[in-house]
Amino acid sequence: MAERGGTRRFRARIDPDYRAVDRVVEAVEALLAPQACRRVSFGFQLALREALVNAVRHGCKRGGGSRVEVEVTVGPGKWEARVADNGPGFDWRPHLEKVPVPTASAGRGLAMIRLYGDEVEFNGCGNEIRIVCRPKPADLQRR
Amino acid sequence: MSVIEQGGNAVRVRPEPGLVASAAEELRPRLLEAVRSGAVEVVFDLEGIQQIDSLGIGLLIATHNTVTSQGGRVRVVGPSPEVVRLLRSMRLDRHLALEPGPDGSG
Repeated sequence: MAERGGTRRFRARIDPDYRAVDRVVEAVEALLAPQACRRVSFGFQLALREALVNAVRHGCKRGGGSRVEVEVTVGPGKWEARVADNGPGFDWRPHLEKVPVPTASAGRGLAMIRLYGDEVEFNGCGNEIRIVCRPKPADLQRR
Repeated sequence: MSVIEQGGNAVRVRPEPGLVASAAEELRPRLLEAVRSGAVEVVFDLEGIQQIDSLGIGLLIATHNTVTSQGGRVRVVGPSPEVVRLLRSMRLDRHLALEPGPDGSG
């Protein structure tokens, strides 16, 4: 974890394991704590967690990748998460606008990321995602 | 570690650290066993829980689908306002019995 000019940064490389995802989200929660209200903090953590779970599940466990890299940057008005795995990626384009079926037990991960991310981008082959949340000043003045 | 308590035909589930992938992975076989052994009411206790993801919700829905097909029901007790808003956004409030906690928005 590093801090420079009011911007805090967290970087890690994790094994493809859901408990490692829990530990990353816990560390990032501590990064957000001083300035975030619960609603926006919840949304950012959820989008980050979802990206990590996708990387572990699809990029590694099913795709054959072996590691996940995460970088989170928290500034005064911009929170950014970048999650990458070394799996083969996927064609994300048809999935971006999909509306999940309520009674389906899978298929809502990307919809949840889009719900909370102000910007969501994949790299070309789909093994890296960038999520940006832009909290408003009022969101940063209350818990 | 998550907790499952079974009493009669009811099961109470307390997922830790939240309704998330790590808990879902651990709970799925235990819940399936409880439902197979005759549980008709499953209570997901989410009081104080802030962590949730799509695999956790997937477990909730899969449990709901199985239990309701056997004439039972799933209750979601004590979800925070943020969790309630998320479940509503996913249109799950039409299928699940949500019982928000004291600070819930329900």
